[in-house]
Amino acid sequence: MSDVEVSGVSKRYDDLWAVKRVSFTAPAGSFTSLLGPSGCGKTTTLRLIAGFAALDEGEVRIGGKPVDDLPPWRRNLGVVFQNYALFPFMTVFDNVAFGLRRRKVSRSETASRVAEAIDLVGLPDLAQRYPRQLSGGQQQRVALARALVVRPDVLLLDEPLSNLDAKLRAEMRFELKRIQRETGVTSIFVTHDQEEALTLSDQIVVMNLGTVAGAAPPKAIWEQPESAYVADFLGVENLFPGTVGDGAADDGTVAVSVDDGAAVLHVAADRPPDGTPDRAVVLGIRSEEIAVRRSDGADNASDGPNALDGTVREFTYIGSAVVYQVDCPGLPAPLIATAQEEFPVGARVRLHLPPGAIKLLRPDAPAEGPEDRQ
Amino acid sequence: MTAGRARGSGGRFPASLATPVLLAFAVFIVAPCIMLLVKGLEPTAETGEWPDFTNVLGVFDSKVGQQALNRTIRISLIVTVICLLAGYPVALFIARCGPRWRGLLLAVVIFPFLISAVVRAFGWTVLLGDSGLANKGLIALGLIDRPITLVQNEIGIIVGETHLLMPYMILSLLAVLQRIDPNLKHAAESLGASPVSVFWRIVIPLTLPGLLTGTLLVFSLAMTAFATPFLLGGGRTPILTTLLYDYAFTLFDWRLAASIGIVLLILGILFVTVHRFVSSRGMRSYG
Amino acid sequence: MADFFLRSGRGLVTVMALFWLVFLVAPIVVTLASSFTSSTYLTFPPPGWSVRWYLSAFESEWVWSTFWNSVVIAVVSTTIAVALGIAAARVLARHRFYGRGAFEYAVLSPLIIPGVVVGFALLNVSVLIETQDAGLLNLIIGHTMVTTPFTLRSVWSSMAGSDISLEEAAQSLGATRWSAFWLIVFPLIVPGIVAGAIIAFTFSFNDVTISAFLSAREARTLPVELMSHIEYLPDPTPAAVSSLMIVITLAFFLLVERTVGLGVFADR
Repeated sequence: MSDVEVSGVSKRYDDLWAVKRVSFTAPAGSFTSLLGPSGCGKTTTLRLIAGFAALDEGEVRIGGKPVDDLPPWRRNLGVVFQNYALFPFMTVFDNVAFGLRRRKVSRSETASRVAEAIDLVGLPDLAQRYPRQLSGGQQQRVALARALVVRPDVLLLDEPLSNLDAKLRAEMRFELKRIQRETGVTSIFVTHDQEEALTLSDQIVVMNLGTVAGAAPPKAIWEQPESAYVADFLGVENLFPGTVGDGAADDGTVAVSVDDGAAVLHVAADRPPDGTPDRAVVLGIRSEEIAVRRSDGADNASDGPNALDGTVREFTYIGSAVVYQVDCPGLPAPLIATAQEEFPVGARVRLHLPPGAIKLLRPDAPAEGPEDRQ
Repeated sequence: MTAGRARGSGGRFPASLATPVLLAFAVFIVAPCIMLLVKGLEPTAETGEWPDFTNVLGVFDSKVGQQALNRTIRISLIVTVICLLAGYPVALFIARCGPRWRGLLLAVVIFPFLISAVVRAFGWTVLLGDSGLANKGLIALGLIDRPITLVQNEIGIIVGETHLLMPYMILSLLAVLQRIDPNLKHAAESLGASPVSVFWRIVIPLTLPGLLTGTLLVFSLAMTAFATPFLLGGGRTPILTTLLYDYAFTLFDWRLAASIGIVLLILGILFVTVHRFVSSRGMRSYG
Repeated sequence: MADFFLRSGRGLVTVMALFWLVFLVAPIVVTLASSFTSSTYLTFPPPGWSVRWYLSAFESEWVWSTFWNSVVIAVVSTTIAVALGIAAARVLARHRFYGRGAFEYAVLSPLIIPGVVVGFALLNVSVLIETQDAGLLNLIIGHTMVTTPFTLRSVWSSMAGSDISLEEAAQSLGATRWSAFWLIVFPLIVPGIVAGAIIAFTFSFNDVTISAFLSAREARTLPVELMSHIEYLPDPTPAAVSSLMIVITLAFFLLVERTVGLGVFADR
C-alpha cells in the first residue's frame, strides 16, 4: 500500500498539451477519482502514472519513490482497462496467473493466489473459461482479479464500468467498493460519470482541459463546488453569472444581481468565493432545491426573498418527479426546477430559491481555448 | 484520452525495427531504380551531358517504339472496357448470391489470379490454337469456315490480359456493392422507383467509386503487364514491357531498355497517384 | 411491365455472369483435362485418357531440378519477407514518427513499380557488381522484395485487430516490451503471418516476370523453364507440369480459405 503523488505533471502530443501541470495526492489506501469529460486529460494522467507514456514535465512518486525512470513492468501496478484487455487466447486462470508467472512465483503459490483472487471477485467456477465465453460483467471481474493478484502498490482503473449496462454498472460499483475496502489498495479511478465518482471515492479530482479544476472529498465537492465548471460537471443545472452587491443584509445574506437580467437574488454567504475578481460570481442552484407552486398572482414580496414568478415552458416526467423548464422574467435563461406536482405548459408558477441553497461560485478563468494549451 | 492512445509509443523513430526494413528497400528497390534512371539518362553521344533525355524520347521516335506504345495503350483500353462490361454483371451476380454460393464464386474469381501466368498462357494456347476449342466452336457456329489465328498476336494478349485482370475489377466492384445498404433500395422502391431506375439511379452511382478504382487498377496493370503478353503475344507484337525484355536480352541495348523502364516506372507512379487522389475524393463524397 | 424488365434484366445478368465465370476457369480446366490426353499432341477435348505425361514429367530431369530451385527460392524469400513484413507492420501499426508516410510508401513500393522494372533494375545491379551468375541469390532477393508488401499487409491487418491495451496490460503485469510482444501480440497475429506467408510463397513459386529477368543459366525456376517448353508445344509433358502447379497452388489456396478466409485477397 503506497500513496501516489502527482506533482506538476505535463504531457504534450505534438502541439497540444494533453495534461498541463497536474498535481494531486492519492493517500495510501484511499480511493481517488479523476473526473471529467472526454478529452480532459484524465486518461492521459492515468497512463503517465502507469508509465505507458513518458511525461514531459513534473514527477510521479509512488510510496515516496520517483517512478518516472521505471518502465511499466517495474512499477508494480495493477491496471484495469476500459475494454478489460483480457488476453483472448488464455483461460481465466492463465489471464490471472500472467502477472505471477512474470514474477516467477512458484507453481503452487500461483495456483493458490489465483484461486484466492478469483474467489475475491466472485467467479470461483469459471477459471477454465475463455474471455469470449464470459459476460461483460464477468470479464470485468477477471480484469480486476488479474490486476489485484500481483498485490500491486496502486490499482489504476480506466473507466472500467463504462462498457456495462446500467443495472450491472450499479452492481459492479458496490463490488468495486467492497473489493477495494477488503484489499485496502490505493486506487485511482478514471471516470466521466459524476455519480460513480461520488459513490466510490474518498477524493474527487475534477479535470478540465488538461488541468485540475478542483479536488475535494465527495461531500465537500457536492456541497460547495470550487468553481462554476466543477458545479456544472457535478450536475448543478442552473448557473447564472452575477455581480455581488455592496454589504451584507441584516439576515446574513448578500444581494447578487443577475447579469443580463433584472433579478436580484439573496444568497446566504458571508463573502464571495476566494479568487473571485471584481465581485463577479456565478450563481448556482440545483433543480431539486427550487420550490415550485402554483402562482396566485399576488405580489410575491410576502414570500420572502428570492420568489420568482414564471411560466412553464416545457416539462418532462422522470418517474420520481417532474422536471420543469420555467421562463422567469429577470433571468437570462429558463430555470430548471423539480417538483412532485404537475403543471401544464403555460401555467403560471411561483419559484422559491432558498438563500441557503444558492451557491456562490468562482467563475472559470476566461475559457482556455485550444491555443492556450499549445 | 483516445488521441493519446492512438499515438502509441510517442513520436520517436523506431530505429531497431525500421532500419533493417528500410535498408533492404533502399538497397534492393530504391538504389536499383536510381541506377536505372542513371542508365536510361546516360548521354548517347560522347560529348553529351547527363541527364540526356534523348533516349527516353527516342524510344517513341523509332517505329518499333511508337508501335509498341500505341499497341500497349490500345490493348490496355480494350482490356479495360471488356473487364468493365464483363466484371459488372459478374459482381452483381455474386453480390446477389446467398452466402454459400458467394464463397464458391469468390473462389472461382480469386483462384485464377494465383495461378502462374505460364500455366494460364498454356491453357489459352491450347484453347485458342488453330485446332483449339475456340476455333472449333466458331466454325461450328458457322461464323468462320477456316481456323483463324487467335494466339501469338494481339487477340491472344487481349484474351490473356482480360483473364488476368478481370478479378481486380470484380473485387473492386464487389467491395462497394456489398457496402450498399439494402434499405436504400427499399427506400427508393417505397418512393415509387421501378427496379430499372433503382439500378440506374441508386446502384450505379453508389458503385461509381468501385468502378473508378477497378478501371484505374485494370488499366494500369494492363499497361505494365509482362508475362501474359510475353507468352501469348508471340515475337511480332511487342508492347512496352516485352520490348524492354527484347532490348535487354535480344539486342543487348540496355540503355534503351532502361529508357523504357523509366517510362514504365513513371506510369506506375502516375497511376498510384491518380488512384490515391480518386479514392480520397471518393471517400469524401461517399463518406 | 416492370416485372418483365426486372426478370429479363436479372436473367441477362445471370447469363453474362456465368459466361465470364466459365471464361475465368476455362484455361485451368483445359490445362488439367489436356494433361490426361493419350495423344502425343495437345488438343482439347483429348481423344483418349492416360497418365503417361505425368510419368514423363516425373522422369524429366529439368522438372525436378527447376522444381527444387523454385521451392528453395520460395521458402527462403518467404521467410525473409515474413520477417521484414512483421517488422514493418509493427512499425506502421504502433509507431507515429516523422516520415512514417515515406516509410509506408517505400515498403509498399513494389506494388507500384512494374515487375519488369524491378526485375530489370535488379539485373542491372547484379551485372554492375558482377553477381549476375548467382542466379539463386538474385532470385531470392527479387522475390523477397516483391512479396514483402503482401506479408506486410496481411500481418498489419491482423495487428490492427490486437488492441494496444493488451500489450499495456501485459506490461503493467510485469512483462517487458519483448515478452509482451511474444506472449501476447505474436499469438494474435499468427493467422496474419500464415496467410501472408502462403500468399508470398504462392506468388514466388508462380512468378514469371521477375524470374525471367533474374534467372541465370544454372538457376532457373520451374515457371521460367516451363515457359521455354511451351513456346513451341512439343508434347503434353508441360501440360502435366502445369497441372501439378495448379494443384500445388490450389492446395495453398484452400489452406488460406480454411484458415483465414478469402478476405485477405479481397481487401487489396
